[in-house]
Amino acid sequence: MALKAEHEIHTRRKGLNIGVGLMLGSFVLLIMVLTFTKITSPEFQIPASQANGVGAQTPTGLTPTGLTPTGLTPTGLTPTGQTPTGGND
Amino acid sequence: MTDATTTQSFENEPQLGDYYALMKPRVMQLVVFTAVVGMLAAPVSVNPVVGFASILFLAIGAGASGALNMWWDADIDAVMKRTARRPIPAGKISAQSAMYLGVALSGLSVMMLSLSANLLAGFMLAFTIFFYVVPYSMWLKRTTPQNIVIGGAAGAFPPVIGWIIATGEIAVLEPWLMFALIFMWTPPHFWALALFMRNDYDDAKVPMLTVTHGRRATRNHILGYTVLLVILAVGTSFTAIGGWIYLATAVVFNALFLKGAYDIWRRDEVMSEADNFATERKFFRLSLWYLFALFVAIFAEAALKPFGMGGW
Repeated sequence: MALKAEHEIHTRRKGLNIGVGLMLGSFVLLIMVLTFTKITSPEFQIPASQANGVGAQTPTGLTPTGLTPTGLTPTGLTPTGQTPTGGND
Repeated sequence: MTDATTTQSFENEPQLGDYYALMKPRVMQLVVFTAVVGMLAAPVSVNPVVGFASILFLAIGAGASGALNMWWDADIDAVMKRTARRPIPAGKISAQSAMYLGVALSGLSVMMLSLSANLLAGFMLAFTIFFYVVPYSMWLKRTTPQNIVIGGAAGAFPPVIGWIIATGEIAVLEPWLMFALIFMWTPPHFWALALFMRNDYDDAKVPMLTVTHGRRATRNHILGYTVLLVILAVGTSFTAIGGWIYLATAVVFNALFLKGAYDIWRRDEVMSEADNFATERKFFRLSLWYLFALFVAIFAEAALKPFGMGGW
């Protein structure tokens, strides 16, 4: 007896499974195209809450805020743009 | 398990087409069509990809509400001849599966429409699904002859959502005129159906106007609502979404629709039985063309505006 015998249930479900697979693939493709369209649109803006740290790097030798022991380098004294608290943390 | 039961269970294995039928494809077509017109009639152009994706998610939301409606109404669908072959009463899909699918697709469609278009469009879609499933399906449909009047609002929201997809705005007159057209069109459309489906609603104990107030009252209501619809539809010609094309279309189709409603009104049951409700069936078919023609005219006015031809 073959281990991979094609049962009637497999045949009957084949159409459904292929259909669901195609729909999921199309959905992924649509999300990709939609995302590309949105981020290349002239109106696209990075939300201000997330834009502060974009492109900035934590300079070597300075300690990121999150790792600083309390009281050693207070946030208020940190040079602007050198210890981002946003996206690159 | 015997061979016979095994064969039977395989035959009832749901196919993709059964899930498609669960989503009420004809309602989805109406939703897509009116929403596209609402979106294109707006004075703001939409990126084609964003527009396509948004209308697709709106259609999925409409299909989800259809699945939830079939889940809730499975008992009365099984009794009515018109709906007895739907996937749940036919034994193809379980009511529980329909409910899970409806809830999942509702969440997905609202989330994706909010992301592809805007939050307001997503909120309106969520409200439309809620309105169709809870106030209409769960409450009004089985309790009042006004079910189709108030519940018709659920089918009238798509052009408003289409407009919101394009503009992000809701507080303007034009989308609500399109809403009003569908809202006022729904009762005569469904009451004509109720007249020639005869005993379906009686058997299912759904309190349609034909069941609670009789067929004479239903004929009176069809004429009354049609008169109001004609005033609204022709009056819309002189608004920002109207123009010469819409006016000409509205005059022709409203004259035909009014005549159809008048013909229904002056008939009685003996006359209708004699020709197997030919006039009522004709009016029902005309109602589909009527709505299609008016929305095509609205679309034509919007499409021709950039060339200096649409509108007034």
